[in-house]
Amino acid sequence: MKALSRGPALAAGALLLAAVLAIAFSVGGVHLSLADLAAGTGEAGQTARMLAALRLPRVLLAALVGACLALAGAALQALLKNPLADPFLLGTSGGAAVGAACAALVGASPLVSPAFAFVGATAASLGVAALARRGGRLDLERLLLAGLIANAFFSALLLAAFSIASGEASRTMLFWMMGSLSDATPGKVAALGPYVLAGLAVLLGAAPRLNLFAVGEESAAALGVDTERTKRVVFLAASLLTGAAVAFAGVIGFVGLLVPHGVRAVAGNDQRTLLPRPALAGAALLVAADAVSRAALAPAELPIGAITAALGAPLFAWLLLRTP
Amino acid sequence: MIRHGAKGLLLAVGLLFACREPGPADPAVGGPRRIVALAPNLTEIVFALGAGDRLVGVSEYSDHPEAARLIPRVGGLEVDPEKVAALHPDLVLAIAEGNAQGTVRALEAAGLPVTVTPSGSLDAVLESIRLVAARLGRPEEGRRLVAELERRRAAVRARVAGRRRPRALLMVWPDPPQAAGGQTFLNDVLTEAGAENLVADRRGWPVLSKEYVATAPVELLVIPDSVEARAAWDTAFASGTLSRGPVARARRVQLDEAALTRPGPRVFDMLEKLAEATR
Repeated sequence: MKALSRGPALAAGALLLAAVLAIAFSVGGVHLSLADLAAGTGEAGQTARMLAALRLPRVLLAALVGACLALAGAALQALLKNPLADPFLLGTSGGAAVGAACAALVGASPLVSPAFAFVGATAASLGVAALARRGGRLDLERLLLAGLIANAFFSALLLAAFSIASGEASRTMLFWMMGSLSDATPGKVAALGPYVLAGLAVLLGAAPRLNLFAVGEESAAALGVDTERTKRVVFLAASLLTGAAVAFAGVIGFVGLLVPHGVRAVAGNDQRTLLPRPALAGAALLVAADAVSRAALAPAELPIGAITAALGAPLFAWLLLRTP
Repeated sequence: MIRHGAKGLLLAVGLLFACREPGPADPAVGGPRRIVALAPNLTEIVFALGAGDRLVGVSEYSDHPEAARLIPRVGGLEVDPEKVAALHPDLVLAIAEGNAQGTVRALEAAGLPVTVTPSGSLDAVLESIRLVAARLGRPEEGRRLVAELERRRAAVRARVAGRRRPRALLMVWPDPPQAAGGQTFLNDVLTEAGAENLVADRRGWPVLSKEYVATAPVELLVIPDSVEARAAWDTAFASGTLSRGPVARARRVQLDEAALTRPGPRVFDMLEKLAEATR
């Protein structure tokens, strides 16, 4: 039964994503004529191809970043059995941003900034988890508080780094703090792809064990799951995904929170069927949000973080009200 | 704690100054003697009015004329109010757009006589000169300078009248691309020099999308030139935001960054240079 429903659901998700990609590619502050793109000659064709060369990497980068953030959020929510878990709220994104800011401060090449961001994200995850641990288990309340503390601390570090950086570096940092997809290039898309695939593969491998976590950590251990190892693997995968997303697009909040909830509401709680879907849904959401950010204030742009937060904050409030 | 200390000091200084009668300077006694200028354009205006020797404090980037470099600094756009107060100024000049309004209010609350100059147009630049001249007790010098600048401005207008107006962007930064929009003094500079600002309907300093910059029908691109920013512009022209589309082929006019982007007397030099380029 499950095998039957899983295929069509994934196909539906893929179709949705494809439709959103196509729409997002054709809208924006500047009109892109698909006819000119396909068969245009002279200046019209040239303009269309140039626009496509600018817009296509951006749409694809939005898709990959959305997939990373949503996957990380879904994994953290499953692992922590906490509907409020999200790489943004738990300080993982902030740690990644600090890592990326360090890379900019020491003048490291943009190619290694994901590595810096990954180190920052991992350190943040481990630190927050250590703060939240009480009597050998992660305490829900402490986890959110630890995330709050971590975010405040990382904001302080970022502001300090921002004020000592000069010119170019401070502009780059402002970009991380606000989150932006406007620097998309084919190279970045190609570099981010493997991170998404690796994260997805690791999380799919851990999905059966994550399902047992839903029953309870003790029960999972009793059923033969190496719970500590599972936690480590999932935490690292979530950090890797978050670090990669932040390194290429800055801190974009709430996608990791929003998407897993939407998917669970539609698809239920089985991680094996659940896990690939947040990637598709997260990709679709961020591509759509980016299309709005490009079109709403044209020829200027609306920060993407403003759109995701405008969607995410009310949902967060609603979840708080529902959580006993 | 530190903030508290600053307030205490400001209060103390305020009490000191409360004994003085603030008001328009009396030309008979030569006006204020200890002036602090919180922005580089104000420093330039004070010098242009022949009162540079009365400046006891200036903002970080006040580097014109040469003599301004030797005056003590009181901070960049984020002014240090304690430094300002410690200079015992009898006139503090601030700009409406750029200086933190909280700082300005703190200085006023401390009893310092602060004058805030308007911005947003070339007329506001001239108004600023008139206002500063009046506060300096040199209204006659102000009138003379404004009349001279108005004469040059009118000559530029006459020169460009009837010409075809090239479609233009005046960009202040390449990536993310940021341009002078409507209701800015640089929009007036661009327009009065005979060009048509493509983003005049966007107020202020809009950050433009890369797609827009790549496709906008730009014929004339005006950019500020400075040593610090040259690498960023070079990158943008070689492979970045300005490397494709009409903007890459547009006629390029580089104008000294400090002279162009500071709403002071030198902006009228830039107006004349730009009018030459729109021919």
